[in-house]
Amino acid sequence: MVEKDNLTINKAKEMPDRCWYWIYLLVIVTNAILLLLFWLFSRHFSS
Amino acid sequence: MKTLDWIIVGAYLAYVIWDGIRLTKNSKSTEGYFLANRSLPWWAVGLSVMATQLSAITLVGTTGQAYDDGMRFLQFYYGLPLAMIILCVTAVPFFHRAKVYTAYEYLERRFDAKTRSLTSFFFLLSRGLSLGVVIAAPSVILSIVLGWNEVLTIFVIGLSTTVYTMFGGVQAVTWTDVKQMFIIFFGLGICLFVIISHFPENVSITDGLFIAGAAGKLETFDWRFDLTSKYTFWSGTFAAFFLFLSYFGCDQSQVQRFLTAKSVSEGRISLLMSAFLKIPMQFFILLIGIMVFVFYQFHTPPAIFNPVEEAKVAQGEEYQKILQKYEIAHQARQQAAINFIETRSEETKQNYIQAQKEFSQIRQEAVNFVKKASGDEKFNDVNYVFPRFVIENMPTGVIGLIIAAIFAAAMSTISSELNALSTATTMDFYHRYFSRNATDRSYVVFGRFAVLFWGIFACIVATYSTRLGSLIEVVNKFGSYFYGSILGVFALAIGVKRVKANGAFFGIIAGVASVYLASSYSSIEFLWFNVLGFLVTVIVGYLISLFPLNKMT
Repeated sequence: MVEKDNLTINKAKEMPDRCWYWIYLLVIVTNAILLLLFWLFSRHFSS
Repeated sequence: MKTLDWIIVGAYLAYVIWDGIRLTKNSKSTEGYFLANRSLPWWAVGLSVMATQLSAITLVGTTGQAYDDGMRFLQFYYGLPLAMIILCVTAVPFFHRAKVYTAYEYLERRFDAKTRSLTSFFFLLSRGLSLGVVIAAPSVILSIVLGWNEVLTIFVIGLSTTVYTMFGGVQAVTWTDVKQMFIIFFGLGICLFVIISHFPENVSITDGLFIAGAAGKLETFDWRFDLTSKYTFWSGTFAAFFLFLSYFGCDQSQVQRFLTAKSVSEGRISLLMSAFLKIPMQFFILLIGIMVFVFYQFHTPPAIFNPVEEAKVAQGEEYQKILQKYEIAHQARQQAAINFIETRSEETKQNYIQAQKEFSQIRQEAVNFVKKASGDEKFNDVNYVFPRFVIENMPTGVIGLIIAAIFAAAMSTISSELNALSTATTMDFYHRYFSRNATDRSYVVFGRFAVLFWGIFACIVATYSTRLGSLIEVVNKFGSYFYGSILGVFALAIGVKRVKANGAFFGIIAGVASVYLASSYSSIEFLWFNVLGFLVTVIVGYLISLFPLNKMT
């Protein structure tokens, strides 16, 4: 019973799944932009 | 080092030990000592995850690598964000909800005790030995560059970390990691500022970057698909992806970080901190190495950065001739760099590239001379570039700060690994086989002795690994034997319902054996071992599970 109560409390603190999809997408997009910037950076200073 | 530098290093050590020990009062219960009662905020866990990965040799080695080879090393981290997302979806909720102390504990629930014990044993073996190298590498460098006693340096770094980890448990590890990250980046920030301020008046950062770009030091993408090349886009995004999955998802030294988070969400965010920050952070560290390269365009760099090896050959006539050529090549390169900055024309750029090429050839001549004189064909002074630069060119106070930052990088990794080794020893062996219903106090006491044991063990390994130089490479390779296979057994546990205990057990043995054979009889670079170990473990584990015999287990 105690376990069940704890589980309920923990669940209430968690972010909903649909938020996570957007966060993961943000991680991918941010890193893709970052790699693009690195590529442009290296091309700019190597040209 | 001057008195002020010693005071800064001494104050850092005293503060970290005091700060760690004062958290002893929060570490009385088993869950408090090993998992901080699963109460830590995401940002502290996230910084601890990053501090654990950033060892002293990463800090010192990658700046040297950027000086020597440019930014190619950055590609090693391209697979990390995707690995972190996959772990956020799978490992974090899985381990958190399973309420385990170690990642390997889950393997017993899914398979059996022997698979858990074998995997945990592989972890203890590889981590215990590699911890010795983590302590030895900065100790050797600092003792050579600063003339300190090598064994004393090993024990100062190793035992001071052991003391606060032993008493404060995971809380001490995490909160000291947070402060150590700030010390590392404060030190590096000051260092970058001082390097740039040492550029000649008419040379800006942009000029410096154009010089580095012309020398080919700013290449962040290498598209060649070559299994024998260490850092390419493909090895970084594909092979290293498996390494990161295994390291962050199945290695107790990292799993224990996110197990201390308050909730699944906070555990996930802590890992995503690395997904956002690791690549820019590594770029910043490599940029310091690049700026050291630019600095040495206008100041003569040492031909050999390892002062001990340099001193051995310095008086020889042949080496003196090389040094004369080296000085002439440096002057020519400096003039070519100035001409290139002033005009930035294609002609001056080509002249600079040619001058840089000739300079590199003469430096290589000096390195080859040392190789021949010392009889060490693998001689490489890349790891000495940054410390030697700091000691010879940084002002008083900044030297102490950088040495404290190197200590911080070493100690943040050592403390997390000691903590993880202690948890695996206590929960996977002592609790599992010897004392299933003991009191909280007895697990905490055993955990503390386990930290002490692994701390002393790692210091002894460190002492030996400095005497046998090539052992460092052997141990690094040794660690990579296991990563892919451990990842494979967790992939089978979480992702393939059909796989049974014997399949997983013999799968991991086959995975480790295949990596051993590949490392012995092929020239494949070590990052690809992770892919091989993973695939062999998964395929063999699955095939063995198809046999009817497995229905019994």
